Amino acid sequence: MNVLVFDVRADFGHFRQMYSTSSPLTHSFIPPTALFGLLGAIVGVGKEDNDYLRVFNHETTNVAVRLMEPVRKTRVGINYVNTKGNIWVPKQRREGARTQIRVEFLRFPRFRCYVYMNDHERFSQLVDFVRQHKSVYTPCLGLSECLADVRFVAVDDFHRVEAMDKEPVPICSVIPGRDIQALKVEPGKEYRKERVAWEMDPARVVSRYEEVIFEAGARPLLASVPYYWENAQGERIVFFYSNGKGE
Amino acid sequence: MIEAIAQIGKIVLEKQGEGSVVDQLVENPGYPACVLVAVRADEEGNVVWEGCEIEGCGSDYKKYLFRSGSSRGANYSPTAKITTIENTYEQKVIGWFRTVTRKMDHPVLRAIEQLLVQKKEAILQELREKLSLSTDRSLISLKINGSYLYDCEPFRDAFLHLVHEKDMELSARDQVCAICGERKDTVIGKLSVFRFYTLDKPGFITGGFDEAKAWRNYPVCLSCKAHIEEGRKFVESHLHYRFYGFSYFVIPTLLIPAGKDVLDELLQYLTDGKKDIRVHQEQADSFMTTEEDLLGLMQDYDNSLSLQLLFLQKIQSAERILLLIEDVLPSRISELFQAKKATESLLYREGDHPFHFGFLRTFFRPGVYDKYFLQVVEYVFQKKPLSISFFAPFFMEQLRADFYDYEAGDWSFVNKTRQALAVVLFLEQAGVLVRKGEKAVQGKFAQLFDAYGGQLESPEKQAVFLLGALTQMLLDIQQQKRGSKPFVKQLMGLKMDQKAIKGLLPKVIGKLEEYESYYASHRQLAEEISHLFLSSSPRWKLSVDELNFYFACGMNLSWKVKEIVANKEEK
Repeated sequence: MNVLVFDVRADFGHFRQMYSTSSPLTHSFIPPTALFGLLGAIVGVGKEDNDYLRVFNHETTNVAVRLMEPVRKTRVGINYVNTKGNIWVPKQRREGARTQIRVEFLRFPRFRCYVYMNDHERFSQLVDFVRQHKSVYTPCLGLSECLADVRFVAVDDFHRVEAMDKEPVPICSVIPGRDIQALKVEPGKEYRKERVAWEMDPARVVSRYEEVIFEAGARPLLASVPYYWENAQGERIVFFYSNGKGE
Repeated sequence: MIEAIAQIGKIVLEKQGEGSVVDQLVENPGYPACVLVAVRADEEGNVVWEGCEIEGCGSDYKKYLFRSGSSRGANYSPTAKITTIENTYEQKVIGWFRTVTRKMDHPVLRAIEQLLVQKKEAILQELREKLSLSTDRSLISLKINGSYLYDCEPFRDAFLHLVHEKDMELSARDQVCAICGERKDTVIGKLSVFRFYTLDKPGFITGGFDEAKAWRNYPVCLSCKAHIEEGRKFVESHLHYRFYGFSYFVIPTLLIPAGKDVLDELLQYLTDGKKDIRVHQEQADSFMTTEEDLLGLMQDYDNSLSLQLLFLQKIQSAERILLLIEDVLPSRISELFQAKKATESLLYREGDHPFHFGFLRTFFRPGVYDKYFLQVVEYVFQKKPLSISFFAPFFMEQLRADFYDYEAGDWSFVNKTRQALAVVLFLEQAGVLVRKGEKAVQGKFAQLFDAYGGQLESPEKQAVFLLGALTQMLLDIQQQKRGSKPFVKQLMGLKMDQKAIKGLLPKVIGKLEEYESYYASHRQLAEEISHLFLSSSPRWKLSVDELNFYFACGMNLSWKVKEIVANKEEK
């Protein structure tokens, strides 16, 4: 199947872990729901009423993500405006007009994104925009402050490979935990597991969460999975939504 | 991280034989005695006070249905620890009924409340008498028709209602829980176990800032909430450590499901054998704190487990995450212990001055450089590279402060230089500071540079180091001959630049000659330094801090240099 491959990089990125608000921690990679938002920004499907989730979602779009740089995180004190009570009331609170929140950011994140869509018209529009380095809304990684650069890599043909034996193969992309039948732990690699929202409807209600395993040094994982996708250069990835789309 | 805590909580509860939801919520009051107000009630709402009795509390504390509430208000049941009997009775017992009857309309509870108010004086009188017979700390509770509160349905219902009341303010039905991933009848949207999840600012609510819909951000079912609560309790009591002004939790987590037995075993060990660690494990085996910690134990485990180190700061009721170090593998911890041993063997006598992170903390002052200190700790655990130029200003700030007293014979400069050197060697061994001096160094001092000079890869750095050693030799001679070290003034408070350093060599030689102590060994050393100066590049790419740090290291290790020179002489 034809897959759009593009890189997205930024100086900073922040994808908030769901369990933290007043000390926001970040995911190490771009979660699928954030990637849908990024695709929406590129082709110009807005966030008003979560329109982008109607166009890009787990049913219409299949995605895979690969880390291109080792995960680096840093913490930055950000001055938030104190808006308790929905208005800015500096004098009424002892703490003053601002609160400093220590926000964890990804530093120099760079991800390779693999996108396939059922809707060919929308897909070719997306390919055109990415190829021409254009976007309707400004792309960012998580927060509007974390401006991102989207670079076209290729429109590549990936074919699905059924793994007949359980021999582990090197997989470049992050892998959904449920797909992993066996993982060969190699010395020197940093294995991480994070839980992310996986399927979200336009009302932003998450109907599925998934654990994702990856190597924090941006190196491939030796894993045994039921099926993976491979291109002519032998790059192996696992798409997030394995419901037969693109076959 | 939260999933790991929930998993720990789940294992702990499974071990306890999970029981009902109420069982998970009841706390152990840990008091040896309990006075009970016995009441007889029927379904028509007729209640009679039967008297008071006192009994010893055994291990079966659940029957009292105790769970502490706010210090000013009532608990979650009418069971409370007695402070003064009058206050406790009024605030915690009658107060509880007042709260409950306001929220739930239950005729029996209302009738009991009226009875307790009417008979207040008589009950208090009898309670005082009972309590006067015992010196033990006591609870107060109720017995209804001979049964404890745990066995009375209205009390259990009210207990559950009160515990979950706040959480249920923001909840949804038939949604997927973010922790277990299953669809549950009720999920709550305001999990308050850890206070770094709050919804007190609209900006914290993604997708519209609408608090009523905030459950969509982080829905948690009630059983997962109980697991997280239990997990937190366990982590707080068994895995909570202090670390140079910070407080941190170690959270073991499963990397692959196959490691479940290992996690089980570890938790069991922590519950049963925690105290033994103190006995068996020597203090020297720890580098995170001066007390024992889990890391020494973890280095022997395989990589199916990993550790998360959560540095948490409590400011009043709020909790802030200062740092979360994710997925530290036992193999990494083992590497760090090896690095610690290697450092100690190079710098200290066996068993002497065990290296720990306190050495590092010396150079990152509390309250001023906390952020940098935590960053270094993170980089050490994650094996991320840092350069010596990052450390040099911190080292030199402390060393310069102590250098003024060095002339007067104060040893803190010497000790701190040794600490800084230990930090550099440890970080090199731990793979954080890239060891630059890998290529073989030729000459007399090859062996020395090989052992200590991982950062001394260029001739100018080696020259500065040796000049430091030669200067120290001169200072020793001065100290010996005149009881003071006036040459210290020539070192410009360790703020020397390239020009000053190069100009120092003839001064040192001149002074040694004046003292008639310019021996062959000194001459050899001076020749080596001159040779290195000449082979160095004309413009040194070294900051003043770095330059003076190498100089101070040379001063500190002058005894090593002396040994080498003396050996050569003998040969």
